[in-house]
Amino acid sequence: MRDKSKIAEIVRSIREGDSAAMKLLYEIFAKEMLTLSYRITANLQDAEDIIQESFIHSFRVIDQLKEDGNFGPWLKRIVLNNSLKKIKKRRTYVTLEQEHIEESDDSDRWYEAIPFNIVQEAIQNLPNGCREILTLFLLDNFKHREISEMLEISVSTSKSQYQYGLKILRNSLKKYGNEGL
Amino acid sequence: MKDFEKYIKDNQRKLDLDTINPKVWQSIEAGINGKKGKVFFLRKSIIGLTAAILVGVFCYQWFGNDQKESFPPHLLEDYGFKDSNVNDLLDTKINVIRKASIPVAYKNDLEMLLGQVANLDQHFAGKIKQLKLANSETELNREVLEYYKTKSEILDKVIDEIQKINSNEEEYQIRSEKTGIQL
Repeated sequence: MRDKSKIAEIVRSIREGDSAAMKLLYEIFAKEMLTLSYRITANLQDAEDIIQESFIHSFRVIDQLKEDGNFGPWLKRIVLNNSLKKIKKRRTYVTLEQEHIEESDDSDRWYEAIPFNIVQEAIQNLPNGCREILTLFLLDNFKHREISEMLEISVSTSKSQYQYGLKILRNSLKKYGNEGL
Repeated sequence: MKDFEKYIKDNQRKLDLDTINPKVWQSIEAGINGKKGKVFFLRKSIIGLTAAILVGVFCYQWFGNDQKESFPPHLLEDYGFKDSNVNDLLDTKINVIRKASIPVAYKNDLEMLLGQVANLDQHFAGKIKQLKLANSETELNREVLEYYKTKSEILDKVIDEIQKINSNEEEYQIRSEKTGIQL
């Protein structure tokens, strides 16, 4: 259920003190938020802590939400900021020269044979920095300009790290296809 | 966007985590309701604080001295106090806390922490009589210093929490109603 009017209705119920509505809102958004945080932090415990903090904060200041139907994007921004803050110290950007990257031919759609849990694991195993950028751009639909602002890097760094992450991902999945991870 | 990227993007829901630990909601619910046992963003501080208080209380079971002037300087240095006037150091931290303000919604959380600071003080005051009966002055001083060290760490944690709470407000440009802090 992601209908904005339904979300707005639930948010209004929360404002009126309906605690069951909080649970409902949590159930709607929790997995998406946990996934988002986990992709960025690559640590499930950290991701759980972050969504706890973010949900509690959002419920407490829900009166500050200008459009009730926009709870999802608002919460997503909170989770995202908290996740990025969490990994700020361990974020590094590896230069492209540091890893040999093979160009690969995708015409045979070899990747369709890879189980999704393996794809998920391969994404989590990407180096910090390019993993965040790849997930933010490819899976969370942020533009490179937005990513550059969030991470305080240049747009060109965001683009190059994305390409770098993509190639590592492709290589590791190809390797799995050939010999298993 | 090439085929490989498109394939990942089109199937991104299949890459989502499909389960979530039920304790996450329990912790959120406890955090919202301010129940005992809540685990949320203050939990690490609370656990640390509780442990620190227990250590402090334990150390005060048998010792005591209310004269800071008797602390040998080398003991102060051993415990990380560069300034020999420990009470001034603590007063400075207490003043920082007293001058701060936090959003009303977070008042209960902080009061829980502050309540534990008060409990430590109360316990210390109650033990003064016992402390004066102790025989070993060196050990007595060491234990008193442990009290100050514990108190100093607790106050630092309180200040950290205040800063963390207020930084959230600034980050999301929220203008919540603020309240002062009683300590």
